[in-house]
This record gives sequence, structure tokens and C-alpha cells, in this order.
Amino acid sequence: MKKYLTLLLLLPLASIALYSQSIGVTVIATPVGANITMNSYVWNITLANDGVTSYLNDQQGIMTVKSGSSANYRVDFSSQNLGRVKQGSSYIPYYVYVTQLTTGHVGIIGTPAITLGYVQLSSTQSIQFNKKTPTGGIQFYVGFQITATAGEFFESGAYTDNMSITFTAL
Amino acid sequence: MKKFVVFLVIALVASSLAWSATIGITVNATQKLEVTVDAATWTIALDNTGTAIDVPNQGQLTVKSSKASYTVTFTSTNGGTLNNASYTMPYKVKVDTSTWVAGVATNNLSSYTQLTSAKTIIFQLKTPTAGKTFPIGFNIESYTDYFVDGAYTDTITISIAQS
Repeated sequence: MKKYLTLLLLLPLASIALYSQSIGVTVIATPVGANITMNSYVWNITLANDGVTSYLNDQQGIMTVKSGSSANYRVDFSSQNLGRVKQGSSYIPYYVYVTQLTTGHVGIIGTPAITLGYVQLSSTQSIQFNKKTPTGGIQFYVGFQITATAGEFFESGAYTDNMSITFTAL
Repeated sequence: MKKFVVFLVIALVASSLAWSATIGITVNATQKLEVTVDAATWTIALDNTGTAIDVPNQGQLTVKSSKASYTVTFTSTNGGTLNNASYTMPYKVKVDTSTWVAGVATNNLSSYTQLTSAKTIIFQLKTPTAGKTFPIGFNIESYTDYFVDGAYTDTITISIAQS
């Protein structure tokens, strides 16, 4: 009697096993299209170098940020020479400022210093976002400033630096 | 009737993904190299008594440079003499740079020198934008023979170049 009951219980399970198949599907959603582009990757700037005239261009470059499918991401600004252009052993400090070109709320969290005014990239400056961009991206002006030192020449010649802007999905 | 059980496994690749753009910045600081004098002509009276003329502040030389290494050169059209037709009158000049010892590497005009050939002052520091100013001295040594009267002239050319 006990064996009969056991057999009856197992039959439905066997039936399910017989008519079912499983397919494992894995979908990897990559953060497509995420990138940062500039309207120009080379900035050539002429400094008057008269001890009076500073250089200031609030629209030195235009940065386009596309987050793809990443709603939470960060854009970091850093400098090879810690916010200075370099010629041999001589340095000139420079400052950058990011202002929004795209209108409306783009998802910036808080008020990052680099969006409040000109800052030196002596350390990395970041802007964090919590909203993915339109497919066309969002745009910002990147301003550039060198302040004249009153009464002093900078050692004349060509000074260089590399500024990196990095997108990181969070 | 077959039943299909589809298991959807959605995996989001959430590992840290980063993209970056690099901007090459070049700043060209304009070069400034300039020498000026307070007066373009010097008119000096010689009393022809044999007495020497010594005017330590005959002129003022102002040097402006945005380079650290540069040379100021003095030359004379007549090789350090004032000429009146075929008559000549030797003279000497000096430039007192003692107020800026740190900025001067070599001054070949620190004492009265005849410009028989080009004479240089070699600098090793850039100047303030207002420049550095030095007195130029003028000298005619005492003499025992009269100079033939008349006007004697020469032209001193002062130039500056990056070293």
C-alpha cells in the first residue's frame, strides 16, 4: 500500500519533467554610446605677457557628454602638470571653468566647484550626474584663464599641458 | 502542448567603465626684448683746456626682457672715437649695473671702456615688465694737445638679443 501511494505522487512530477524545456537567455546591456568629445582637442593660446593683460575665454572649448544607458556617472577633470602649463622648469598656473550649454536640468548632483567658477586642476575636479543624457548628449562650455602677474614677465616661449576629461559609469 | 519555460537572465555589466578625452594645451608667452635710452642724442661741451670729462649719468639705459638669458651689445660707428672730418677724439663709456648684481652675469662695460669693438653685457634674469634702468657714463680722458675746434660726432648702437 505504501509503495502505491508513493508512485502516484511521483507521476505528476515525471509528467512535468517530460513536457518542459528551458532556455537560458543572457542579455548584456552595455552602456552604449557613452563618451566625452570636445569640439577641439588642441588649444593654442597666445599670452600677451605684459604683466598686465590676463587671458580669459569662457568658451575655450565645448564638451559633449553622452552617458548611454548610465544614469549615474561622473566626469573628472585632471591635469598632467597639476593645473599648470610647463616650459622646462618654468610653470604658469591656469584655471578652468565649466558652464552648462544645454538648457534645463541635466542631472548634476550638488554644486561642483568647477561649475561655480575658475579652479586650478591641482587635484581632480569632478561633476557627478544622476540622469542619463539624451542620445545627442549634453553640452558644456569649458573656460580657460591665465592671470597676469602684475609687473612680471612670464619666461617667454611655449608652455604645454595635457588636460584629461574622464567619464566613469557608477 | 509543449510548455516552454524561459529563464531570462539579465546581467548588467556594472563594472567600472571609463572613457576619456585629452586636450593638449599650448600657451605661447609673447617674447619681450627691448632696450631704450632716455635721450637719443648727447651734446657735450668740451672746453679744450685739457681737463677730462667724466659724466657718470650721461644717459639712462632701460632693458626689458622676458627671457632669462640675453645680451646687450654696444657698438660704435667710428670704433670709439668722435670724428670731425679727419680729426678724431677718443672717448669711453661705461654702464653701471651694480644695482642688479643678481641679474648680470658679465658686464664688459663696468668701467670706462673705448668701443674699439663691440662690448657686451650678459644678463641671466628676466626683468620686471617695467624693465631695469642703468646709468651710462661718458668719459674723455685729460689731454695735453688741443683738439681742433669743431663738432665731433659718433653714433653708439645698443642692441639686445636672446643668448
